[in-house]
Amino acid sequence: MAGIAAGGELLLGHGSGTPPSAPEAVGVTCVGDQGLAAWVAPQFSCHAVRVRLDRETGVVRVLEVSAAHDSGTIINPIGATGQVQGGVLMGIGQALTEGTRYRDDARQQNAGLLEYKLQTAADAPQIQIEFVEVPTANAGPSGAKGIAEAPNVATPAAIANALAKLIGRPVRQLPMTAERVWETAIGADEGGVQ
Amino acid sequence: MQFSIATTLDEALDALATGACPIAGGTDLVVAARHGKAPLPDSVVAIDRLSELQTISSTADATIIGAGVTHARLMTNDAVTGALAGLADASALVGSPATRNLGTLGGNVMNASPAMDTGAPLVVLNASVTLRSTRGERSLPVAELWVGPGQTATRPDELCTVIVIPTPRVRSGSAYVRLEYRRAMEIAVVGAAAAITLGDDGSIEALAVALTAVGPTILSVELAELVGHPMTPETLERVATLASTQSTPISDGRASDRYRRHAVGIMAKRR
Amino acid sequence: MTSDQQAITLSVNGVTYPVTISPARNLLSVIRSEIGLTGTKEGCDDCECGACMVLLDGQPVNSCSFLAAQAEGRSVTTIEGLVQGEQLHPMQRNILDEGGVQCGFCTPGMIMSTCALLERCPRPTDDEIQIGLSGNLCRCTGYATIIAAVRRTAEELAP
Repeated sequence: MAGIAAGGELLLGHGSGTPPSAPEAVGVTCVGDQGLAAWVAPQFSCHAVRVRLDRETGVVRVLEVSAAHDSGTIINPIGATGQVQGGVLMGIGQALTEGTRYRDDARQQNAGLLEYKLQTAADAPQIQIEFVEVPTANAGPSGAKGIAEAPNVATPAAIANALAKLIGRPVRQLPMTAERVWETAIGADEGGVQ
Repeated sequence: MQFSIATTLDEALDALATGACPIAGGTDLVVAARHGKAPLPDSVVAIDRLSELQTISSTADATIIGAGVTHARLMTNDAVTGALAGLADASALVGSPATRNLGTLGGNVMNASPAMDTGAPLVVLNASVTLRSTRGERSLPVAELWVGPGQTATRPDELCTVIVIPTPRVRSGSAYVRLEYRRAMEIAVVGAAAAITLGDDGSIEALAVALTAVGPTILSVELAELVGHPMTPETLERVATLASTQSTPISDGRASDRYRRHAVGIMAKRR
Repeated sequence: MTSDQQAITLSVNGVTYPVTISPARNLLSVIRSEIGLTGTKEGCDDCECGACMVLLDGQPVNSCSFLAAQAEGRSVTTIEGLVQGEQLHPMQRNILDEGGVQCGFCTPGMIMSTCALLERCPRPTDDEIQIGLSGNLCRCTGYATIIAAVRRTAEELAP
C-alpha cells in the first residue's frame, strides 16, 4: 500500500469490525484502578459539520456540528454533554483560529487573547450530541469510558474534510486560517496562480 | 499618578494645559498600560462626566457628535443609523459589548490607530473634529488629523470636543465592511468604508472609499476616474482593484501583506 | 502612604467603601484586595476575556482595565450583589441547573454580562444572547449551556 501511495495514486478505503476489548488495566494511579481502566478503554466518535466558506477571503464559519460518541456508559449526562460541547468548540478553535506563533528568539508572538483567538459565544454553532453506549469489557466503573479529549480530535478533521470538499483540495496545516484556506483555494500553496 | 475628575469643560481644558492626559472610557489608555505598551501618564483627567461631550445633535447641514458619545450609543442612534450608516456599522463592530459601552468616538479618533473601525467611515463621510484648548478652538478634517500610527496633528493641550459630519446629499449611502476571523472581540485585519452619491440618472456623482489597517493611517482611495460611470459589477471590480493597488499593507501575525492587499479589495467592493 | 495615594469612596453593591489607593489602580484589584470581594475574577488582565466583568451604573465594564478612581460616585455591582439573602439570582440558579459551570472561572463575568444584556434587551433572540456574551470567553463549556441558561432566565424575568 505504501508503494502505491508513493506512486501518487489515491488510496481510499473503508470498513468496520468488532471493537477491540479493552486491555486488562491493573495498577494504581492517582485516580485508582477504575480510572485507569476508563482511560485505556477504546473510545469511538464520529463528527459531521456544516460550514460556510467565504470563497473570496477564506473565512470559515462552522454553523452546525453533530457529534456521536461511544464513551461507554454515560454516568453523568450533564457533565458528559458539557465535555462534548466544550470539546467541539475547542476543536473549532484548533481548526480555524487558535495557533501559537513563535518569534525567532522562541518567544510566543501571540501570547494574549486578542491574537490567540478562542471562539466566542457569537461563533458557537448548533451542536447535536448522540451517545452510543456500547458495553465494553474491562472498561471503567459501570462500563464508563473516557470522554473529554475525544471531541477535540474529530472536529478539526470534519471541518478539514468539509473545506476540502468545497475548495477541491485539502488545507494541509492547522489552524486552517482564512489566509491558508484562501491560499489553498487559489492554488498558491502548490505554486499555482498568484 | 495625578488623577482628577473634570466636572466642567473648562476644568478639563485647564488640566490639559498643565499637562494632563484626558481619559474617557480608558479602553485604549488603560488597556495599553496593562499590555505594557505605554505606562499610564503622570497626570490624568477624567472627561467622561462632561455633559457637553455627550450629545448627538443634527442641523440641516450636519450631525454633531460629542466626543464622549460611546459606540453603544452610536450604533443605536437614529440620526447615525439613518444618514450615517457606515459609522453605525463600524461602531457595532468595535470590541465587545463592554468595550462599546465604555469606548467613545472621540477616544477612537484621538487614539489614531490605523486599525480603528470608525476611522474609514469618518473619512468617507468628510468628518472633521473640533479641538478646544484654553487658547481657543479650531477645526480639522479627520483626514488631516491622523499623521501616523497613534499620531495626530494636535497639540497635547487640545481636547477633541465634537466630531462634525456634514449631512450627505440626497441619493447617498454609506457602509463599512470588515474582515474578521471571528464574530466578536476582533481587531480589523482589513476593512473598508464607502460613501456614494448617485446622480439623477443613477450614475456615480460622488464616490469615496477609505481603508482600514492597510497603511500607517486610514487610507483614502483615489477613485476620480469612476465619477459619471454607472454602478455596474465592472465598476465594483474596478473599485476592488484600485483599493488593492493603492493599499500599502504590512505583514504581521494577523495576515501577510499579500493577503491584506487582496482582502481589502474584496471589502471595498462588498455590499 | 506614598504621595500619589488618594482617599476615595466606592459604592459597591449598595455599600459605601472608603479606600485609600493609588489612582493608577484598576477597579478589579481594588474590589478584590481592598474591599475583599473575590467573586470577580482576574483572567487575562488585558480586557480580552471578560472574567472581570462588573456593572457600572448597570452597564458592563471590564474592571481589569478601568481605573478605580474613575468609579467614584458611580454604582458598581459585582457578582456578590446579585444574591438576595439566601436566594440566588435566577441566572445563577439557571447556569448551575443547565450545567453551564465547569471550571467556573468565566461564570461571574458571564452572569454580569447576562444581567446587562437582559436589562437593555429583556427578550433577546439567540443571536442577541450570543453577541451579548461575546466579550466573555469560556474554554470549557462551548457556550451552549450558558446560552440556554440566559434563555431560561429571560423567560423567567421578562415583563
